Formats: sequence, structure tokens, C-alpha cells
Amino acid sequence: MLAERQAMRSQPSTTGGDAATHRRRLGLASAVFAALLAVHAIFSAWAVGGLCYRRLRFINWWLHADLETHEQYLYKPEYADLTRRCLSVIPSGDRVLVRTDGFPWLLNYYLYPIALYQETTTPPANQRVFLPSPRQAAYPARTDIGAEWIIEDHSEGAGRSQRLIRVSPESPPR
Amino acid sequence: MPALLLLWGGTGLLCAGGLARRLNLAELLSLSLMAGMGTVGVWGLLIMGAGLRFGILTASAILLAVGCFGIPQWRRRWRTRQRPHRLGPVAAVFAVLFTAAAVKPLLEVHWLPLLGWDSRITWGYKAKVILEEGTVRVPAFEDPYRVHLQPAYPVLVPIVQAYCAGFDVTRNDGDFKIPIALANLAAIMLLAGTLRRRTDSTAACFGGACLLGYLPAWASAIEVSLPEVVSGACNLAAAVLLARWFSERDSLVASWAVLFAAMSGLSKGEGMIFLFACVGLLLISAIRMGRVRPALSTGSLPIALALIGLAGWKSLELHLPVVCTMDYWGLFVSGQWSVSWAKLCLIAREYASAAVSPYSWGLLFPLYALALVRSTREQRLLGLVVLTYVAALVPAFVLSSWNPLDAHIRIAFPRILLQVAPIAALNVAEVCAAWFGPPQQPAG
Repeated sequence: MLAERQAMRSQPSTTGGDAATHRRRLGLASAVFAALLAVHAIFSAWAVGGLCYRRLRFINWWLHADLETHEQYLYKPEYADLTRRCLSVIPSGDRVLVRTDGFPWLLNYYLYPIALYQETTTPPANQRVFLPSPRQAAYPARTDIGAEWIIEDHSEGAGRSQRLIRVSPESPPR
Repeated sequence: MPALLLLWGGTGLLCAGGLARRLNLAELLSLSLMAGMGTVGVWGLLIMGAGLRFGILTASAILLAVGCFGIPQWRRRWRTRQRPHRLGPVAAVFAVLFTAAAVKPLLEVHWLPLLGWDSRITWGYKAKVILEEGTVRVPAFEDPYRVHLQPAYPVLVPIVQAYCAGFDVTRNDGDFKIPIALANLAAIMLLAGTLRRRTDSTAACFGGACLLGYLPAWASAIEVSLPEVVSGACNLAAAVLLARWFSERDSLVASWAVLFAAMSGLSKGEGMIFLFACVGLLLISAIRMGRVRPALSTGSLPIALALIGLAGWKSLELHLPVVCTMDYWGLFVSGQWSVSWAKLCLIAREYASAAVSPYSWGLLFPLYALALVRSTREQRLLGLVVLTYVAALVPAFVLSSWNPLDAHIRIAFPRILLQVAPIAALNVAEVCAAWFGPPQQPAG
């Protein structure tokens, strides 16, 4: 392939001009390419340098932080208490209904294998961000999932900061 | 431990498939890692439901057994090894940078837990479910009312994540980062190996690999463990092998290219578009070259493997009755086709501004466009695949229900670019090597 390219380089242009013109054009293209490459290297070095600097500081902070700080960071400060309480109180495999208009996905990740269901005002939870697929549209909104636990989270609606966790009144006595 | 198993089994697979002897060492190591991950992913899809412990044991047994095919290859390479070149100062600097880019993500596996947003709520959650249950046929996937973002996304990466984490008894979610770190290693090694084929300059090889390893968006994606890194590495592997098909007309190489493109489709939904683009281009060029028959005979093993992979993916899709929030079929059927000039202009503007964002990509894509002007025929054909891939995703934005739409494009489009950035980096590095580097001396 390189030989082919070198052969192309040594041949005169077929579209016009002589070999010297062709070489001049090639030289110009190489110069533009080299200039862009240099700018690219500068931008990349600047951006990746900043990235690495921040990452090293973060790793240093992380390795010296205590468990509570780790949890605050991983669960997000606004959900840290709730996640901790859920993990300590709710048995693995129980069903939890979260009444929130927020996004409880991070809670869902850390609570697994506790089963998490969401109840929103409107629209239904799974249709809030993306279009529903035909299969998804076939499922009507449903909240009677027989949850043993209910999390009330009104931090994004009326009565801010009202976040509580309680045993569902519908569930049998535990 | 899992990385070594993947490497061992992958090498055996490449030897059994007849590809290993056509590769230099860097290419062999990188493609072996990718092939090992593909084997685990496809096997995991096929035996899903038998339990993770059984899955890990059988996958490891398969990797160990298949890896035996690679023993003669390792022995031959050990016997014919050469003394390493003495590195010049520029090459030494690039070699240090290359090593840092390869090793840092692997070290972070032990230092930090899984931190990215998407990597936890979308991919990590799936990996966690598979790690706990050994299958996707559980309420966490099948119950449409459970909180689960994007349950119908392909699960090759979560399967490999669960496989790697399954070796660690402490159940540390930092292990979910192993496949991403290995895919990064494979991608930059493959770049170096491919450039080695083009030039004698060690500095050009390491420098070209650093072009990808130090791309800000790529480095950032590795930090948050996005599976687009795996998809990008698969696309690069497919592109490298496709380029060799165009120049060498070796049908076995072409069928391996299809295999890696299929692996990209199993890693990310968009990868299916890349697979279709690759297969289309391959078929057209094979028909023009009159090479259809050899492709079917000598490449039968990789084609069979690709078909197994696709069958696994399809069977998963059929047996997973979940609500899907973002499947392309759903988008096309139930989406509102409200195409307007203003919308298309907005998409084009956002595409352009994302592609030339200097703090994400440097000037990689303008450089790629310039490189394509002076590239060879096969590089231009690969450019066509990349262009098809990027353009084919425009309808997804046309149908998007996001308001404002530009927020959707700003989130999604860099992820799409991430999957083709390795191919762009390869082409730019090849042009650099050809223009500025010393030419390769003919053997003998």
C-alpha cells in the first residue's frame, strides 16, 4: 500500500499541471495536515492533562476517604441516607414501591436484589424519557404490585425534603 | 486471571480459525483479547439459565481447551523471536505514554469502584443481575413494572462483566470495569500492530496508538467505563481486517471481519448498523472480485461463529418479553415522522459542533476528513462504512421525542462518534506514517 502511495506521489498529476505543481499541492496538503495535527496534539494534551490531573486528585481523595464519604459519593448526597436505611432495613428480595417524580435508577442499582417499582404522577415511569415501544405500550400503568415497602419521595414536588420509608399498609403483618 | 484466560482462549480461537499466522504479535494479542471476550459473551448467551457458576466454569473450560490450539503458535513465535529494537528518544517517550494509557485503566479496576452514571444504572445493573442470577430470564428483566433503564439493550458486555466479576469472591463492582480496560488495551495495541505493518518506525507505531489512547473523549469514556469502548474496539478490529481484505483479497480475513462486526452488534445496538454496512460492502466487493466461493469455504468457521452469535442475540431478543424504552424497531414503528428542514438543520449543526469539539476530540475528525482525501481506495471504502454508520442514525434523532432535541443529540452523538473514533485515529495515523515516517524496508 505504501509502495502504491509512493508510486502515486512520484507520478505527475493527471488532472492538470506538471509534476512540480503536483508536488507543491502535496506539500501544501502535508503542511495543512501537519499544522492540524500539531493543534490536535496541543488540544488533546491540554484536555487529557486536565483529565489526568483531576483523576489523580480524585483517586488520592478516594483512597483516603472514609466509608461514609464513599457512600455519600456513590449514592449521591440526596439519596445517601435513604439508600443506607433501605439496605439496613429491607430484606433482600422484598418489593419496594418508590413514589417519586425523580429518577430512582441509582437507588435501584445499589438496592438490587431488592425489587424496586416506581410510581409517578404523570406520565408513567417508563415513559418519562423515551418513546414507548409497542411492547411497552401494551402494558397499562399499574401500581398494585403488592409492595411490602413504600418510599415516599417528594423532594422534587410539593412538600420538599419529605422522604420517608414505611411498611406498606397493604402488605400482611411482618 | 480472567484476562489471561480470555487471551489464552482467544489465541486458540484465532489459530483454529486460521487467522493467527497472518498477524504480527501486537495484532495477535489484541484480537485474541477481543475474540476471548466474544467467546465468553456468545457462550453466556447460549447457555443462559444454567446458572452463573456453571457459565463461568464452562466458559473457562472452553477457553482453556480452545487455547490449546494456540500452543504451536506461541512456540513458533517464541522460537523466532527477535531482540527488541533499541528505542530512540521520541519512540521511548511514545512508548512510555502508550504503556501509561494501557495500564492506567487496569490499575483503576482495583483502586476505584464503578463510578459512571450510565455504566452503573444501565450496564452495571444488568451485569449485577446476571452476576446474581446467572440469567436475564428473571423479573429484573422480564417484569415490565420493575425499575430498569433500557432492559432490552444487548447484553454481551454485561455478560463479560459478570464473568470477570465472578472470579472475585468479594463481589466488588470495580471488576465490571475489566472488559472496558481490556478493550482499551486491545484497541491501542491493534493500532500499534496495524501501523507496524505499514512502517518501520517504532515512534510512528506508539505515536499512532497514543492518538487514540490520549483522545480526550476516549480517555473520559474509559474513566466512566462506557461499553462504547468495547464496541469501538470491535469496530476497529473489523475495519482493520476489512482493509486487509480489500488489499490482500483474503476471504478468511474478511469472514473474521464480519465476526468482529457482529460482536460490535452484540455489544451495542448501533453496532448492528456497522455490521450491515460491513457485510454490504464486503458482498459488493466480493461479487466484483468474483471471490464469493472462497469466502464460503475457507471462512466457514468464523462465519459459523458469527451465525451462532447472531442466533444467540436473536434468541435473547425473542425470549425477553420486556418493555423496551429505546429499541430502534419501536422507534420506527411508533415514532412520529415529523421531518422538517429546521430539524434536519439542527441535527446537522449539532453533528458538526460535536465532531469538531476540540476539548472532546481535538481535531481528530477534521484530520480524518483531510486524511480521506489523500487515502488509498480501501481507506476510503472504510470511510464510507463510517459515514453510513453515522448517517444511518440520523432517523433516530428525527424520531426522538426529546424536547429540546439538541440535548438528546449532545448526549447520544458523542457516544456514536466514540465507536468510530478508533477507525478515524487509525486512518490519521496511517497517513502520518506514510507522509512523515520512513517507508518500510522490503523483507530480505
